[in-house]
Amino acid sequence: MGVTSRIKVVKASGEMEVFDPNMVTSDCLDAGVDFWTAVEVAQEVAKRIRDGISTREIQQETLRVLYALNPEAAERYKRYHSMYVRTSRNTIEAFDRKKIVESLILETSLPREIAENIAREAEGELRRLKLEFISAPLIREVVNVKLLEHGFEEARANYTRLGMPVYDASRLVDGMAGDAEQVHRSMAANVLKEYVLLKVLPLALADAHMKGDLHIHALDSFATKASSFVHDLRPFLIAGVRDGGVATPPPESAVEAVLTAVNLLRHGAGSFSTSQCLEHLNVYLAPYLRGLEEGEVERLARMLLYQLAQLGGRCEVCLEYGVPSSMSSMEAVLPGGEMDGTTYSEFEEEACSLATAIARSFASGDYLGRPFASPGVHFRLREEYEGKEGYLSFLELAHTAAASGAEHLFSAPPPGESAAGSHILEEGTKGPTAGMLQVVTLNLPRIAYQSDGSDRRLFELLEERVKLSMEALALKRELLSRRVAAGMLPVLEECYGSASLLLGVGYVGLNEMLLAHLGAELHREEAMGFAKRVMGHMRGIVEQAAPAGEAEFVLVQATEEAPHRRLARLDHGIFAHRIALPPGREEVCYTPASWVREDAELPLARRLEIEGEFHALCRGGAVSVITLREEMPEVPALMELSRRISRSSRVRFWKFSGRGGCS
Amino acid sequence: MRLEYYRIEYLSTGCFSGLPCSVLRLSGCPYSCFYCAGVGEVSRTTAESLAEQFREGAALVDAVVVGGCEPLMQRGTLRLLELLHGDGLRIKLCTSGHRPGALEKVVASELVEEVELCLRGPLDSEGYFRVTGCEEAVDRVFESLEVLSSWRGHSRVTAILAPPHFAVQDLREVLHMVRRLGIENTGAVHWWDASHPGVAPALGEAAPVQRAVPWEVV
Ligand code: SF4
Repeated sequence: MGVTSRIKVVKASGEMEVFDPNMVTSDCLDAGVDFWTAVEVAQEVAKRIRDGISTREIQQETLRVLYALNPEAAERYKRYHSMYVRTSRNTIEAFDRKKIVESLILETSLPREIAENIAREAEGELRRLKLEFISAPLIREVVNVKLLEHGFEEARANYTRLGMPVYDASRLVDGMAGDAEQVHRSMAANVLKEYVLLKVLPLALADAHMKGDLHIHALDSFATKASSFVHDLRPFLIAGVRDGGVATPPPESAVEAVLTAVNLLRHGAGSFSTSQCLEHLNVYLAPYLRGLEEGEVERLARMLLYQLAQLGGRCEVCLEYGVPSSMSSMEAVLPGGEMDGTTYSEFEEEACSLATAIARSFASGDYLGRPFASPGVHFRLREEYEGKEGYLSFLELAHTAAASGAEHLFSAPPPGESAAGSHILEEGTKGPTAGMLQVVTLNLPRIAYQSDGSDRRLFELLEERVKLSMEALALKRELLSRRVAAGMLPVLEECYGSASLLLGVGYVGLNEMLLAHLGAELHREEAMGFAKRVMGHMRGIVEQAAPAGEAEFVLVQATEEAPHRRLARLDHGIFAHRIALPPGREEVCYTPASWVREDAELPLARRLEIEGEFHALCRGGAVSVITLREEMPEVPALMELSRRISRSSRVRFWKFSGRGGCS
Repeated sequence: MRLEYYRIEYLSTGCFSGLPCSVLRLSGCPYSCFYCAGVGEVSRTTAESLAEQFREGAALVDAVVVGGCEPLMQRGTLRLLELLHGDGLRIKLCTSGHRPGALEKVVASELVEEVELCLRGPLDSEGYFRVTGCEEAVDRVFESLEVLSSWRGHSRVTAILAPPHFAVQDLREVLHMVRRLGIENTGAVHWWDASHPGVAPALGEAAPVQRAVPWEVV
């Protein structure tokens, strides 16, 4: 034994361990070899091995010794140890029940006795199949069945594997939707989604999402990232961006300032899952443009655009035509991060020329003339800009960009309103940065189906669901606080104290809810009163709720994902005979948020009047989409339309689109 | 007064110079063009109700294009134009020129700001008949062109080509005749490729096959 105790064995995984003859004895006993034979075999094997022998070779040696001593026991040993496992570490190892026992104890906290019992039963099932090779996932599946048979449901949830069916994976890989990176991301997203549903969300919330009572947006990032963020570039112009291990200096030149903005978004992608927005971008960059020729500004704008377009992920820039009066006395950050009391009003000309140059780059499209899908632009059309030199050509470029097919956002903020991106901030809030930590969207039509025509029941269910969604949002806030505290979300961490943090309750299908409950759609006179009651009720619950830590609850129209399709399809499966879809709609999908259905016959002004009624309730953001059927819309008419909307309509945000919601 | 229509487009950007407008496509057609595939279902309403809708939308869209097939085939159209005009809306009429009498009434009472007459064949009896199947069509078109030539308002002539019966080669002659009548604004030519059967291009709307191009370019 003195010699063998120093002998090293190479395991199937490649790791080394010291040879222990008791392992040979134990292997023999497991296979049903009698004790004395097992001991004799172990002693004999110990004499024959050398340093660096593999476990597989030890088994072969054991078998040879056994055949010499007791052929019948050798057959038993061979049968027993001929089941191999393809492990998740990409190795092939002999099946070992003890590994199941240990993993059960580690992952499910079951007592050893129960774990051993489950493992024994699972082994029995596996041996019955007479397979030479079994996979680790198969072992887990069998163990999970045994756990369920014994009523250990929670242990099963902890012990199960995450992943996707081979069929789905093959479709992704073979279809190569997008590019290879997209395939990787989709697969990872699938695993994360399962993880959130299984492990992060309480059962009631996970069920509510899966059944379709509500839709948790960006589920794959629920446990890891905030949803979206509107950045204030100034702190980064003062101090540079700390991206991973590298800290960039405060920018000295226009090019460095642009790269600072780009780096911020690149770095921020690790903290935000849906979108990032650069607020007042042309104003904050204006001080860096002093003394630049027009051509240089144009080149800079193009560089900014190409850099942002290649970032991946959705981002947006907010453009002002010049310096809005609310910012004119704001102290400017100058090259090198200096602040000497100069205000942004000194850089009015530069802000205008950069806004125009950026709009022109968008209007011309990429090198091949195609519109930029990302970044999006948020054009702010303030009344105070009317009559400013060059404003008309800025408007024309903005609408040329919109007419080219990219869905840019327009808004006409009333004087004094404080906004960050498309979020309306309360007076006295931190601004101008704001983060939407998470959005959960309610399935309104389902509430109507389930309330069987009773108003009382409908409002009860509405309250129940709003509160359920707020539970999910509060959980998200808590998770993010933990991630921030652990340093996992550096960009969010930097803004956590200074930004307005929002938790959004979204909603889908107000139109179909009304259709199911009243028999009339949103654009009908008789439905409007009830629609206002529903929206008012939701807003009341959401905004009267105490903030979750530093984040406040708001209503939001979240239309960037597609819950209107997912939820309608789920309802179609459950309430097939009662599902309320507007006449002529071929696709099973609901009208987003409180939009009037896209093909409803009513004048645009009336449509926007109805939708605008609810914009004011959605502080988290609301948008009206104006569908253009022409392939190449005429820019002058679009410009005129925007001016009229900004003057006479209550919609806060609008965009032009060639596509409707549902067909 | 009753009216039948095929479709209302509440927002169009390309049909009323530089302004967002609504497009109303009324029913009623005197022709049977060889490529016509019908225009879909007809809705019934009244001139008053239609006018009410356009009035309601006027805060954003205060221009209306009234087109057809041939909008002047219905008696209610004149009433609708009066109501829209009374509401201060800006109106463009798109006609095939088949009702010169009604057109004269419309322009004489200054109800519309602009008239667009859309030609569907070469300006000779046989040629126009080959496309439209209507024998008296070309005479009526000439009468309508004369009405427009003596009108001080904004008139414009466009054409929908339908090769081989109405081809690019025919345009020089057509343009010449239209100009001789004193109508300088000859708008655009909408190409209609008869080898692509489908819904006929509506008057006042862009042709589905190819974008309209200026007449002179052709
Ligand atoms: S194409 Fe138009 S004008 Fe010709 S017959 Fe058909 S509907 Fe009438």
